[in-house]
Amino acid sequence: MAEITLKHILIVDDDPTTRRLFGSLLARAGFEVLYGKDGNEGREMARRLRPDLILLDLHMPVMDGMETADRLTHDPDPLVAHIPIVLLTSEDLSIEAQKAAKELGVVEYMQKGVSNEEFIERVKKILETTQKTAPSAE
Amino acid sequence: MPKNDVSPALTAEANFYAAVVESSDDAIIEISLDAIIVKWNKGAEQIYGYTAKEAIGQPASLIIPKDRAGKISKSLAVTQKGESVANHETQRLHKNGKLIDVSLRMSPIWDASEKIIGTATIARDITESKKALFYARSVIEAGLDPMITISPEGKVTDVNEATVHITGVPREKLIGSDFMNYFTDKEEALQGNQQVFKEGFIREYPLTIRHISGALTDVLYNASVYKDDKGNVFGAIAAVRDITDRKKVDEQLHETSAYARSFVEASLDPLFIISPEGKITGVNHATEEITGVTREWLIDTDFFTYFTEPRKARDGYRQVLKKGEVRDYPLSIHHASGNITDVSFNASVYKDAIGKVHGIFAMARDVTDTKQLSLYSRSLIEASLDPLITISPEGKIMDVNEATIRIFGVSREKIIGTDFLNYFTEPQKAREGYEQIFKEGSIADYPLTIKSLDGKLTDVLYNASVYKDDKGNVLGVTGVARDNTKVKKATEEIASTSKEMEAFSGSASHDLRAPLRVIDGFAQMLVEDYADKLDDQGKEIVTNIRTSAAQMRKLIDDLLVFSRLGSQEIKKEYVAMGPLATEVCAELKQAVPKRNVACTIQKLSDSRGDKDTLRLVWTNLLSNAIKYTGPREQAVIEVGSKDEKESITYYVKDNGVGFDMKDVSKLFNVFERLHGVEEFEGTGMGLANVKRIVERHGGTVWAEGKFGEGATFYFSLPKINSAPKTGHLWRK
Repeated sequence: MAEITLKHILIVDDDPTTRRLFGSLLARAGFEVLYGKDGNEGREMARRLRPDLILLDLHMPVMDGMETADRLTHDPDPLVAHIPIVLLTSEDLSIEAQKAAKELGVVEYMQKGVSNEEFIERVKKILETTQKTAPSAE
Repeated sequence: MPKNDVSPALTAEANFYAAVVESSDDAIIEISLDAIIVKWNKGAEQIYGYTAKEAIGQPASLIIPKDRAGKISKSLAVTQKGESVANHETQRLHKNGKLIDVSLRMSPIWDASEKIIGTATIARDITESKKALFYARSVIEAGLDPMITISPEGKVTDVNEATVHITGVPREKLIGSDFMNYFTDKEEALQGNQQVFKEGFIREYPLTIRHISGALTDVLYNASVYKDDKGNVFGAIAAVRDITDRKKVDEQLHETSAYARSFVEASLDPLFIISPEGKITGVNHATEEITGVTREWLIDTDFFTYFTEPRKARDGYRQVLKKGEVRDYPLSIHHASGNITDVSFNASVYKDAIGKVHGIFAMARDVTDTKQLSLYSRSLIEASLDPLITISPEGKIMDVNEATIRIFGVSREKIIGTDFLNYFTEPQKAREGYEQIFKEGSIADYPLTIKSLDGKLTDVLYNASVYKDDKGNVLGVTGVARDNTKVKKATEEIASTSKEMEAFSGSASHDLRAPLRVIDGFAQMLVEDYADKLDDQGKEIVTNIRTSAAQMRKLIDDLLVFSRLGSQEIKKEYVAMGPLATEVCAELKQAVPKRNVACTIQKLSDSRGDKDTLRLVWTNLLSNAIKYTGPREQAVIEVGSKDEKESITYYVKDNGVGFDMKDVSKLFNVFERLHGVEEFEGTGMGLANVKRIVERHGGTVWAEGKFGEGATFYFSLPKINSAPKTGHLWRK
C-alpha cells in the first residue's frame, strides 16, 4: 500500500470516548479516521465517503451493530456493500452470534479489550487480506 | 339286756332305739357270734340292696368282698373280745355285685349278763363323697396353676401337678407338710393363710415360691375357705398364679371348672362373663368392687346397665359377637356410689368344644390413670403452636392438636383414624419420610407440603420420632410440623433477588468494561506518545492508572464469569483432567518465567462437565498456588486425584504461605481476601468462582492449610457414571 493513498476507517460507536480512543490509536498508526455515532449516521457516512474499513460497535441504541451490518452489506451500491466490516464487542460472542455475523458479511469480530498494539495489528491485517478481494475504490 | 325280764320302761327304751335304728340312713346290722346276719335295718336295705328278709339268716360274707374275708374275721374276733373297731373306710359288696365305699364302725353287743352275743356294724355309704373327692382332685389337677388345699392347721392336704412342678417337691412329701415352707417369706405366707381363715378369702396376695433348686417364682396367692353344708370350715383351697407368665388366659377361661372360677377371681381386672343374650353370668371380686354391686345382684342382670353409655356398651358387645373380639374398647363404669371409672375393654367370645358361642368374656382395665396421663399429654399436644400429630405404626392418625386442625382444614373427628398420607401433596414422599422414622428412629426438617381441604398449601418441615413402651415396642410416631411457608417465601425472594443481581452484574460488567478499556487505552497512549513530556513522577502516575485499570478489568471479568455461572447451562462433556491441568499449569508457568515453580501432576481421573469452566477451576487454583508460593525460592505444587465411592476428589497442594484454618470458611466467599492486595494481587473472586463452578457440577470444594505451611485445595466432582446431583441451591 502506497503512502499517499491513506486508508479511511469509519468507527461507528455510540460511546464518544470509545470512538475517541480507537480513533486516536488509528490516527497514530497513520489512518484517516471517520466517526459515526450510531447505525444510521454510520450508514450515511459509509455511502457518502466509502471508507476502506468499518469498525462497528455491536451494542448501540436504535439500530445495533448486527442490523447496521445487515443493511450495509445489502446496500444497493456494490461499492458500499463490499466494504469490509469488523464488529467491535465488549464480550466474547457466542458461536451462534459469530455465525450470524458471518452470514451478514462481517469479516471478523474484535474484542474492545484487546491491547492497543493488537488492535492496530489486527486492523492492518484485515485491510491487507480484504484489499486483494475488494473492488478498487477508483 | 335280759330277754326274759322285760319291764315296760325298758320296752319303751328298746322301741326308741329300734326306731332310731330303723330311721337311720346308715346301714346298721347285727352279726351273731357264728357270723350270721341277725338284724338288718332300712339303711342296710338302701346301701347293700338286700331286703331284711333276704339278708337275715345269711352269713355276713354276703356283703363282704372276697379279698376282705380274712380282715372281717379278724375284726369280728376283735369285737367278740369286747373291743370296738374304729371308724374306717372300707368296701362292701352290693347285691348288684358292685363295690361300694363305706365308712364303717364295729362294736360288740352285750346281753344283760355282760356276755358278748354278737357284733354291731354301722356303715355309711361314702361313694358319693368319694366321687366328689375325685372330682375335686381332677379339678385341682386340671388347673395349670399350682393349687393347694390347706387344713386349718396350715398343713398341705392336697396339691396338683403344677404345685409339684413349681416347688420341685413330690406330692407325697408335700401332703402333710407345712404349706408356708414353700415360700421365701414364711411369715408372710402364714399371715396370708390366717387371713384366709379369718375372712374367708384372700385375693392377689403376692408371695414368692421357692423351688428346691432355689429358683424363685413370683405368684399372686388367691385362696378361699371351703365349708361343709353346715358352714364348718374344712380347709382352704388356694390357687397361685405365676405372674411371670400370664398366657393361656383365654383357653383357661373357657373351662367351667372350679379352676376357671379361681382364675376369674384371681384377676386384678374386673371380669364379666356375659351370655349371648347380654346377661351377666359371671363376675369376679374386682367387678364387685368397680360396680359397688355384689355378685348376687350382678348375676343375671343386663350387662349394659352398669355403664354410663349403655348404647355404646351394647354396640361394643355386638362387635364382639360379630368380629369375635374387640380390643381397647373405651367405656365408663358406674359405681353404685355414683363414681365413674374409665375402663378399656378387651373382650372375646368363648366357645365350647364344638365351636358354639357360649358367651363373651370381657375384661375391663381401669384406665383412669392412663386417661389422666393421656389428658396430660393432650394438654401438652395442645400447648404446641406448631401442628402436632401422632400416628400409629399402621400410618393412621391417632391424635392431632388445634394447629393441625387449622392447617388441615378438617375437623378432629374426621382426621383421627385416617391415613396421614392423605394430607400431603406428595404422599409418596410422606411415606418415605415415615419409613425413615421407623428405620432411623427419627427425622429432622423433612420438607413436605400440606394440602388443606380447601386446597391451601403449606410448606412444612417435619420433625418426628417414634415413641415406645417400656419394653421398647414402637407404639407410634409423634411429629411436629413447622410452617415453612415464610422461610420458603423468603428463600424464593432471595433466589429471585440473587438472580436479578446476577443479571445486573452481568450487564454492569459489560458496561464497565468499555470505559475501562478507554481509560487504559489512553493511559497507554499517554506513556507512549508523551514520554518525553512526562517526568518520572508523571510516568509513575500513568502506570498506577494502568495497574488499577488492569485490576478492575480482571475483577469485572471474574464477576462476569460468576454471574454467568449462575445461569449458564453446564455442559456435560467428557473432560480429560490430566491434560487439562497440565496445559493450564504450563501456561501459568510461562507467565512467571522468573519464578522457580515445580508443578507435579499425578495421574488424574477424568471427569464429565463443562471443559471451559473446569479449565477456569484449574486456572484459579493453580494461579493461586503459584501466587501464594511467591515468597518461596522453590514453589512446589502437587496436583492429584482420588476416587471415592460416588465422586472423584481433585486437589492442588502447595508449599506457599498457607492460611489459618479459622479463616477457612471465608476462603470461598465473593470478594473475600485473606491477604492485602499489596501482598498478593487478586480480586477475591477466584475461589468464589471455583466454588460456583464445582457446585454447578454437583460437587463440593474445601481446603486445608496452616499458616506459613502451605495449603491444599480440594474439589470433588461426581463420578462419570454416577447421577449428577443438583448442586445449586436455587435451581432444581
